[in-house]
Amino acid sequence: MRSLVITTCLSLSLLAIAGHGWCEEGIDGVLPLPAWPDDGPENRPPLGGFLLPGGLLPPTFGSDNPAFPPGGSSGLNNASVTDLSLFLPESLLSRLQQNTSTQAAPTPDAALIDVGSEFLAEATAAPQDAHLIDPDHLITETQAEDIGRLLESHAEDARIKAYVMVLDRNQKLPRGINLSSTASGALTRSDSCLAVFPLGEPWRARLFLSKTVHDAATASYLASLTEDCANDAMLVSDPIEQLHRFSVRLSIRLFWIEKMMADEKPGTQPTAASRMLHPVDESIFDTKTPGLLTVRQHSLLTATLHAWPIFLIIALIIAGTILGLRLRRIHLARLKTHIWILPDPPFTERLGGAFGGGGGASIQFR
Amino acid sequence: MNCPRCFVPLASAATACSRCGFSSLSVCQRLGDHLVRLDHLNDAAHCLKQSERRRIEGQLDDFDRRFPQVFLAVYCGVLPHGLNVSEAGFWLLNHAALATSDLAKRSDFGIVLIIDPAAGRAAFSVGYALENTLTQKHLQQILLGMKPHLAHSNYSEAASIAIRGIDRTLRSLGRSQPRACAAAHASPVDTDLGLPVLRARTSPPQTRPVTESQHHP
Repeated sequence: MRSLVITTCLSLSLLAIAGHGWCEEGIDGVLPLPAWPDDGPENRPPLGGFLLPGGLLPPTFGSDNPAFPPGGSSGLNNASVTDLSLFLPESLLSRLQQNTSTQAAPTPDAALIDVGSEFLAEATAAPQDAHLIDPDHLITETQAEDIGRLLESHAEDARIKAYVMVLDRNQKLPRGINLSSTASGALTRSDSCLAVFPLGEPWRARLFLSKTVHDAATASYLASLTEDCANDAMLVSDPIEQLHRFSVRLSIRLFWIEKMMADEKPGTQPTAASRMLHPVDESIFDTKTPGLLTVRQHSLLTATLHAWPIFLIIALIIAGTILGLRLRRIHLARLKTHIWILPDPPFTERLGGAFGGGGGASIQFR
Repeated sequence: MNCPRCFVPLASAATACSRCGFSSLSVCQRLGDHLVRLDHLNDAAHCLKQSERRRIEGQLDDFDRRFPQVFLAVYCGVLPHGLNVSEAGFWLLNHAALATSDLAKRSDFGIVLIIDPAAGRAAFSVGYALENTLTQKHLQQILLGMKPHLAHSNYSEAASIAIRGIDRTLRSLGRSQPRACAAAHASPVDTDLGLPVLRARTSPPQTRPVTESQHHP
């Protein structure tokens, strides 16, 4: 059996060698190989089977990587961005590019514009159950739903409802505006907190509170609340993520205020007049100064106000040290200039000693 | 007060210990009845370095100026067998000629610190005038502060602690006044002859025959 197989293989090999020339010509003519257009290395497809989008590619990928054609890394990134852009709307792409390019620079005061009447009308006409008010539709639907769910969840459990109004980064509220009618007047129906949040500039965020809430806490506490939320938001750079963090922090802090209110005035029922919205410490949020500067001044002011006990302690320590050194100096001088006279009591001799009779003490040290 | 030998409490005017019979007479039979010169610092055991000696002497000089009545002496030495530090302190206090030019110093205001490095014992002996001021409790506290340094043979630091401790205690119990007033206090002219009184009270030493072998080196 084995010999039969070997014989067959040998005969087939001989036949193949004999007909090699014919076979080569015949196959090439019938099934030609594909030809790659040689139009530069930048248009070569990526090698290595990568299916990652451009944003997920590590930055170390470059021409040194054998998985890429020489000089082809830029081509790869371009191809990936192009691929992703096919799935994203142009408006979102342009906004993202704009946001990432101008992320760090605060909008100058001169560039801030008041929101228009349409914006306010849209905010007023927002449904009562809309906790996220975005009249200019700056946030995508998915993101708005995400944050809206958070605020609704907060509203289910909390006494102080949280509302967030989103502004564009170059927008601001007109001075002296009354926002009580926002969301079809939903804010005046219960204790509420309205946060006006400029996208990408959390340090310009402002809080409006119902009077009962406003009166429940001190101005410095409310200022610190705003600062806390803004600081937490500024830990990230993405504007939407900032808004999310701001909302989460705001929700937590509103629960704290709620607890303060419960401790101070148990059983107090708020009236309609008490639910008018009041801005939090408006002097701190002076819109005449540039945003970043305002934050710095705000931080410095609150830090100074909160740190006065520390300053007092430091001052007392310094004063105590100076006083101690002074007293020590006086004491040392007194040791040199004074003598001490001891009492001279009468005594009776003991054990036959003329000057001492067993007074003293001893110790064994080893 | 306790007996220097057996440490039992003594009656106020006991002439001898009721338990062991200790008295000035018995200790003089051992050490002699002669006077010895007592400096501020006496390092018979040679356990102090020169720099340490200077430092302690400086402290003792300061102490000396601060308390014109008090004489503080530090004695470091290996005592003869059978003699404890309290007995030696008792004898020194009663047989010491104080090596000081200040005539206001009195032996009953004397304080002797004796350290025996070989026996591993240290003791304070104080004169009658200071018994109520430097109580046994005060002295025991000072000794406890010295104990770690003594245990590590750091005798100079132990002596420094002793001097500082006694200084602090006496300052808290004494009455301070400027040094200028002290001169008048130290040498009051209260005799008809216009001569200053050297000592308010002196007691002539008892004369006892002692042999040369009984002398402490």
